[in-house]
Amino acid sequence: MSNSELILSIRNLTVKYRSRRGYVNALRNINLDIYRNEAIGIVGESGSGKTTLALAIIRQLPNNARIVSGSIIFYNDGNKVDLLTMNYNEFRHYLWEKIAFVPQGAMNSLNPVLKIRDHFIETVKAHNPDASKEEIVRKAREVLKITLLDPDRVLNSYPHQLSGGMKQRVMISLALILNPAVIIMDEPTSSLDVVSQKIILQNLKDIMRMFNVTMIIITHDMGVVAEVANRVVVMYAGKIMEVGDVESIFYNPLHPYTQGLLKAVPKLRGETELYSIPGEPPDLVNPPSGCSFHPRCPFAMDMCTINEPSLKEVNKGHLVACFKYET
Amino acid sequence: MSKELIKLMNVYVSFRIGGLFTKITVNVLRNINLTIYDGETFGLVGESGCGKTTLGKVIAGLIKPTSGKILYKGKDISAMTKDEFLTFRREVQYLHQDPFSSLNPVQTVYTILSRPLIKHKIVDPSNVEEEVMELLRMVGLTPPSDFMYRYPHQLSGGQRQRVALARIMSVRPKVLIADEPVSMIDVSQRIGILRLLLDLRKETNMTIIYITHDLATLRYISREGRVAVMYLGGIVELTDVERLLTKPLHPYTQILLSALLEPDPNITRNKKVNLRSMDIPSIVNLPPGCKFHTRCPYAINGICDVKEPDLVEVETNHYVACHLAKGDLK
Repeated sequence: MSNSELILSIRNLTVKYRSRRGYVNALRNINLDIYRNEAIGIVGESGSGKTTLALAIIRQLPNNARIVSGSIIFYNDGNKVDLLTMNYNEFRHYLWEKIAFVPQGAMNSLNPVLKIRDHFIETVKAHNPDASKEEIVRKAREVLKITLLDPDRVLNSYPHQLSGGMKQRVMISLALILNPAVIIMDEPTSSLDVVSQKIILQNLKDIMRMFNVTMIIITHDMGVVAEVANRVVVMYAGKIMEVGDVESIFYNPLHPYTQGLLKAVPKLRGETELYSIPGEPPDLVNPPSGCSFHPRCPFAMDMCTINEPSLKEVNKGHLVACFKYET
Repeated sequence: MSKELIKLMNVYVSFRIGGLFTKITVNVLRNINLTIYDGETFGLVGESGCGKTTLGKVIAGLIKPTSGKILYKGKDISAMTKDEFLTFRREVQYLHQDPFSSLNPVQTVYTILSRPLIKHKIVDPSNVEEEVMELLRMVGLTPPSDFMYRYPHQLSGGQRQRVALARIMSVRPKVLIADEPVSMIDVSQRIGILRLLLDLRKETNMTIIYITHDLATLRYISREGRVAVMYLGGIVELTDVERLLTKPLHPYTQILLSALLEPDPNITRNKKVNLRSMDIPSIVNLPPGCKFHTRCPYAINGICDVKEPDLVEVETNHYVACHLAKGDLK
């Protein structure tokens, strides 16, 4: 992907949440480049900061969050804009038109008293008040078909008349209707059945090709990443630990956390012996000194408890934040 | 095989839903016949809405079947005396999926664990504190003094699930029904909980009924154990875990296996799902005949959409409910 065109460039992004116990260090100095038409998977456990990262990109962080530093540059037809400093009224037009977001448990985001048809009309009209209803419905039929839904049935249904998997696909269709350049999906399939999950993920790959869209998929599930992503970002305690293409991450993981995570996932074939990452997830109000993974790391050295490693390129396109690879 | 512990005979469960004039009956479980043997680990697998949790609750005595019988140690639980029923309820324990809502938020770990000890007179009142410490050690929360006076919100998901398990172990159960015990826990802590279940089983010889949608975790805790696959309220296949994974006979099981994601891009991307329709029929309006025929790629008109297949033994210890499973049609 190195020769591709940049679409999003995140620099030195640090986000804190105010809480009763003190500041929660949700994101610490995030640097990440995302390229046009790639599917990037962001994996991490709860509290790793993956959802905060998504919310920061779409400027929907909760009120108790503070962006301490950083910029998010969006490359828009040759222009560079910083999403974080841009006037909010101007930014509103970027949302959905350029960057769409499908939240976690998206199926609960539909308005229960509106038919699916009206969800599409409302969404499009908010951005393009002159659009005719016929035109919107025609486009809605197209995007519904792409997500393998029957437009005749779905458009005239209320959300409660659809199953969870169907509602999730409606949300993906809604995200597609304004032809965004980027779609961010937070746990797109975590509340779905095994079979629906597989079908939707397979379908996402077709959608990417047809719509030339960049996908950012946030998940805790290594299986989801293995299925759809071409590049993977591994997060832990608000930091990026490792970035690489999907083959490097799965077949040659470098960071001890990534290695542990992959060895901790039960498998359907081969060895049943599994590894368990010792210890507990970190407290983000008082993160460990040095490398935040050192209390759980089997390779921790003295320097890991004092200094924090930064993300460095070890192989081409494969970056890791670990002193093991710095000599 | 060891002796029969729990036996379900023709169990049906139906719920009534809807308003005053629109009341409809939903058949959540249909004709379940199942025997659980003493000391085994038995898996119940299926997608959401297939009835696996309802079946777990029926076995635990938490939901009464609409018809059919449940025998515990040979005794019909609906015909038990009050004392017998209390013993049954104590011996058959249920571990909930969500450790964030199964523990009382205003009680300390000590209170949570001491209550059942006192209530069931498991130990002498003077030994309660010592027993609580022993239970915490048993579930790996060491040193116990660090955890005894904490509240649930001060614990991680994995630690909470350990407390929930300690509470169950306090009453010395014979059967543990574990309903998706790791699905809400961080990946890095899941293996710890599963190992703990394995250790506790080894120590106490208890029977475990493991309910999950994730065959990979079931394979981890029970490779030789038996497993039943459920679809829309019925059992469609019943055999050993390893055999189910390597030689699934029911088309639904085959599709379930091809849909399971694996943490290996080359393997998972080459698995394709072959279905006639991706949407599960509504349980309110079940199709006639085999409940899977609307989605089954092998369904035969005039057979599968007319008659519901029985669960039959097609090879030793391998039961399948499919008209095609005998092999001559497929």
